[in-house]
Amino acid sequence: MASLSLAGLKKSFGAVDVIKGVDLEVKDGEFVVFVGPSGCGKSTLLRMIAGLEEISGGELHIGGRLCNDLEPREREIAMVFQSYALYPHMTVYDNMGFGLSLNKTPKTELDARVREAARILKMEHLLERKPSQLSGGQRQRVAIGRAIVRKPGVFLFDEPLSNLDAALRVDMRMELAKLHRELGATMIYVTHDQIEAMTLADKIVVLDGGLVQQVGSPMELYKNPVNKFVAGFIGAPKMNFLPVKVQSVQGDMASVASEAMGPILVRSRGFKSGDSALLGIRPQYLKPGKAAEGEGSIGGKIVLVERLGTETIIAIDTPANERVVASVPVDMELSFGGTAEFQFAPASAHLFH
Amino acid sequence: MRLNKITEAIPFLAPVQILILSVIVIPSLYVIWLSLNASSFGQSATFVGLDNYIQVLSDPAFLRALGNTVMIVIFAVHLELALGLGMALLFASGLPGRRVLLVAVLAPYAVSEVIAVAMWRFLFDPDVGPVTAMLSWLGLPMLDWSFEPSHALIMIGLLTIWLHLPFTFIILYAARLAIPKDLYEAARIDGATPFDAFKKVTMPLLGPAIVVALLFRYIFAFRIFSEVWLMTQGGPARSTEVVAVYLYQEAFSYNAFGTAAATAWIMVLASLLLATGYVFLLRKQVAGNAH
Ligand SMILES: Nc1ncnc2c1ncn2[C@@H]1O[C@H](COP(=O)(O)OP(=O)(O)OP(=O)(O)O)[C@@H](O)[C@H]1O
Ligand SMILES: [Mg+2]
Repeated sequence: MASLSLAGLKKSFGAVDVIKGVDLEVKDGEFVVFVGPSGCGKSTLLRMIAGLEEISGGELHIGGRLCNDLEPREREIAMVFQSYALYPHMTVYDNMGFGLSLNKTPKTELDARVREAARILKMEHLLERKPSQLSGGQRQRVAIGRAIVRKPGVFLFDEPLSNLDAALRVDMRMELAKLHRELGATMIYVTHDQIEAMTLADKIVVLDGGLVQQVGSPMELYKNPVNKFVAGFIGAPKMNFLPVKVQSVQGDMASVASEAMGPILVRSRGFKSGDSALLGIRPQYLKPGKAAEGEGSIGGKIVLVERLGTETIIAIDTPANERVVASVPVDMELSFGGTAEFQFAPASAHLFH
Repeated sequence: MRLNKITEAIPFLAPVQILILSVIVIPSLYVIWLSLNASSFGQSATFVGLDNYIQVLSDPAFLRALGNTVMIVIFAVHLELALGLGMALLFASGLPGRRVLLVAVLAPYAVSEVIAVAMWRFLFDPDVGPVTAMLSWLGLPMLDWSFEPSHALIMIGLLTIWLHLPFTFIILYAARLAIPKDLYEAARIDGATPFDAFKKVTMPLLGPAIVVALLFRYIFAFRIFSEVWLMTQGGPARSTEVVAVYLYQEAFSYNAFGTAAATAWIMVLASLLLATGYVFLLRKQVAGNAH
């Protein structure tokens, strides 16, 4: 078990700055997920923690120890690769025991630990096979088993489920959550799948352009995104952004309005009277129907209706020609080309730059 | 169209069969027939049974040629493998200027053996060769290959390594590049030192490529001819002959086609033996490493 502390961590490849100063505290036993768009530096940051990528600046402490210049093996970490990276010439047993055999762990202890890991992952019957004789899901288990056997302070996962099919991914996701509960170990998990991030994480770190955009629990990020990037990145369908004008500010509340929408009161977040802003509203917070006094209201022509069973996605074009998407839990009587009207609570909307 | 009987398929396969038959099988059979007869120019062949084989196998010149060949095979092929492996690993480790160096390393393969030998004869000339001059400047003994048989054999061994190193190198280099990078990263995380990674990851995964390279090189080296013929012509006093040169001498210097044919078959059988042994090893290893 170990805590982690990243202070001003930087990484450049030649003249390209990929990680531009990341500060992060990870508590012992926490499940932290790095999310962000492709190329934002998630893998690079993880590999810096693992010791596979040199650190160009800042400090990395694992379990209180400065680790900047330590070899991976000295950091007490284990990593699960997206490609599994199993040794093709070794059996599952030898793959899992490789690390222990290298540091001359006694045979009996090695055997006990490999079998224990195999039991946890329910793959005792696979121990004598070669990786080529396993399915993708089974290979993934072996890769996780290889990490468990080493009893690391920190588990590092780089998109471990992205090579699996959708159904298996859901199963493995639940197993990983269970594994985290059973082992109680610190885990850092990279993904660009926000459902994985939302379901697994104690704490999500949203990265973009080599910088941390926001750190928080899944619901914190969902309800209170600090900027437009996080707001747009977390949640599906994507949050709607409507251009609005700030008409007046009183205390920390601002009155905003646009062509298509009457004035409503939302938190001002530092905006001043006369500013232009974007009003972010999640599709899930748009309810069909007429707005009551003080509520926001948006209406327009229906351009798309998608019935997903549990919810219906409706896209409308407002009179100002803005596309707004709503997700409603019921199957509404709607038709393409008709009009629809939605209302929302101003408290669920956010102003962004 | 479905072909029910094998007989119906034969006409379609026949061209291949005829080609193999006429190009490989018939000449081979002719050589077998030749090896069982005593024959020379202007003399009709007479059947002598296995006499030719007995004669060849008990000829001291043949035995010396065989000894020389085996020495060259063992010395040259293994040294070449070690060099090729070392270079492949060096290249794969991200050597700067890799592209230019790759061309330089592969160049000998494009050089005709005749030119290579001419070059080497000049470089190592006992009187005026630049390498000889450098060796003596460094205080090292010179290679007196035109006079001293053991020196000549060393020269031939070095030349054959120089000529064939690109082959061994390229096979091993390609195999090394085919090993995914993340296996080495996983090994580092597992706590492997670079030497551990070499021993436990690189070597087992290069195994099949090493066996293939060795197999080909044993067989090529066993048939070594031009290096020897162009360098020493087997001299002085037949002391540096190899089996292929012995065969050539029998056939074209002494016009003894029967014994030459017998020598050829002895070579083929020896190569086959080697090949079978190695293919067997290879199968075992590939089955063991199935991936
Ligand atoms: N060895 C390298 N040399 C130069 N640039 C690199 C190197 N490795 C990564 N980069 C760059 O660093 C940036 C971040 O890469 P990284 O692999 O960390 O992205 P990522 O967030 O993991 O993306 P993905 O979700 O696609 O895996 C990319 O722009 C990439 O091109
Ligand atoms: Mg990545």
